[in-house]
Amino acid sequence: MKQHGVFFLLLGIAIVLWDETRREPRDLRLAAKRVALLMAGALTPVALLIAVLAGQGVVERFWFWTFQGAAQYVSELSLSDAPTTLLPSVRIITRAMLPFWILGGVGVLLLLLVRWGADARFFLSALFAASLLAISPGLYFREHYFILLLPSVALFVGVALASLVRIGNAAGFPRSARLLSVAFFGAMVLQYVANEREYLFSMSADTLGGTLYGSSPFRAAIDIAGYLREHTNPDDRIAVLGSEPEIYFYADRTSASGYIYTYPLMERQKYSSRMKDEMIREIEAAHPKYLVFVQVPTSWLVHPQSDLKIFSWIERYTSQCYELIGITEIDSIGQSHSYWEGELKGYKPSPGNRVYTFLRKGDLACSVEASGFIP
Amino acid sequence: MKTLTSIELYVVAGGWVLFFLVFLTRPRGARGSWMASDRRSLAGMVLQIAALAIVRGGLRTPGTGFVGAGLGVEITAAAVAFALLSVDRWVMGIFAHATHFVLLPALRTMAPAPLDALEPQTAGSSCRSAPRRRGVDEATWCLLPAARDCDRFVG
Repeated sequence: MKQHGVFFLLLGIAIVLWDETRREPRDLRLAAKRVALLMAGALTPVALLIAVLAGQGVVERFWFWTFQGAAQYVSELSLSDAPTTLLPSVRIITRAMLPFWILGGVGVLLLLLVRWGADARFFLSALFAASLLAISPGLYFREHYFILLLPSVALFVGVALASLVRIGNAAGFPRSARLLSVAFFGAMVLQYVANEREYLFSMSADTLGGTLYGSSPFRAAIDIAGYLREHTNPDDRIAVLGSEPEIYFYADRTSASGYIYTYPLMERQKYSSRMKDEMIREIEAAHPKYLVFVQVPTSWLVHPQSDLKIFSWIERYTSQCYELIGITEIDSIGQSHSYWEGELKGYKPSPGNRVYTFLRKGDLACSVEASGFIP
Repeated sequence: MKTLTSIELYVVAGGWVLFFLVFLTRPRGARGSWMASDRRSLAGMVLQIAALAIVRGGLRTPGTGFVGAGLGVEITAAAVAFALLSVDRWVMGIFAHATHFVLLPALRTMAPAPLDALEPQTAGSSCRSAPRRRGVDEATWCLLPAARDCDRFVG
């Protein structure tokens, strides 16, 4: 979700208001005008987007996915779940750069303890607060959410070093303090570069993918998509059952369903059942030439409370309407091996994740008994 | 602050030039249906450049000379820290997440001057930039309550 960017709009408003409160003489009308201008700037692209979507007749879907669905998404976890999502993410994001994150934290304290201007204190604190709020909606704390925190952390690294210099200045050791701060920061950078030299300078994309994502099917997706591209026309539809939209991208083929990833179907939210039904309906209606079932846990993120009815549909639909023409095995570091068509005769499964590729048995429409799926 | 403003402008402009060079000189150009996508991307880039030019040319203090010193260790540290944190593999640095591209321009547009906060104040430099930000001359600025935050006006 990207809606958490709204907190930076609030930051912008706060900055304008702060600026105006510091102006002498105060001018409330000017303040209101600047806030209105800022709001207009933020809302103009949204309004243009809605106009374009209205022209395409899909505003209702936009509203559902942007507001209704998103509201359900952020209400899935409760506050008591936060430690179980936050702590593992913090461990991951600080794995290589812990000293920088710690120094940033020290900077937060030193902003309060060392003499800094009110403007600096306000801006840095407000940016930090907005960044924290921006990574928090839903309490999922996924690793890439923390990108929003990086400018603030980086500025606080600077605050920590600047504070060190200021303390040195006050104590009468300005040169030593500056030298110390340079040496300290230089050592941090060197330590990071030395530890991560393989990643920074020589690691291949395959190895990197394996170290980060283990047995996720990212490498396998390229092979599978290559097969699909070779065996379909540009107008053919395909369906991927799982959260691997990269297969559509690599294959350069259009999805048979709007559900190009399936995490929402497994979430504990009131729309998940409706989403499953819709995905099933769309796939059966399109009856795509190829269907890919990703049997990889991270491609579904099944919860104990998830409704699993789509898996029984997949089993019945593929057995009645499709034939298996490919199996791709993925090992623990993401390396994959595919068995296509004739190679499947001698296939012996080995442990690990798998992706199954199916070819439809005929061009005629095919659907399985809806039993409780489709209203 | 003029130095910082100026450097920022040059870095952004240089980044765009570099991006265009890579984009236009890549060995495998766009083919077939990707051509339209390429054209849309170019239009997007042109729009962004135009927006930057409008904001920087019309609403911000234009930059002056590139040289002039004043860059503190602290500012360099913040910039280096941000660069390293951004490429860190554990926050998807290598994958260039969309947030990476949106974050800095968005912040730069909203904030009066983020790096102002870190500019060394021992020489009173941020005091010199503050009056300009508030649209008053330095002599007037010294009389305002906000000026008390500057080191040179405190104790």
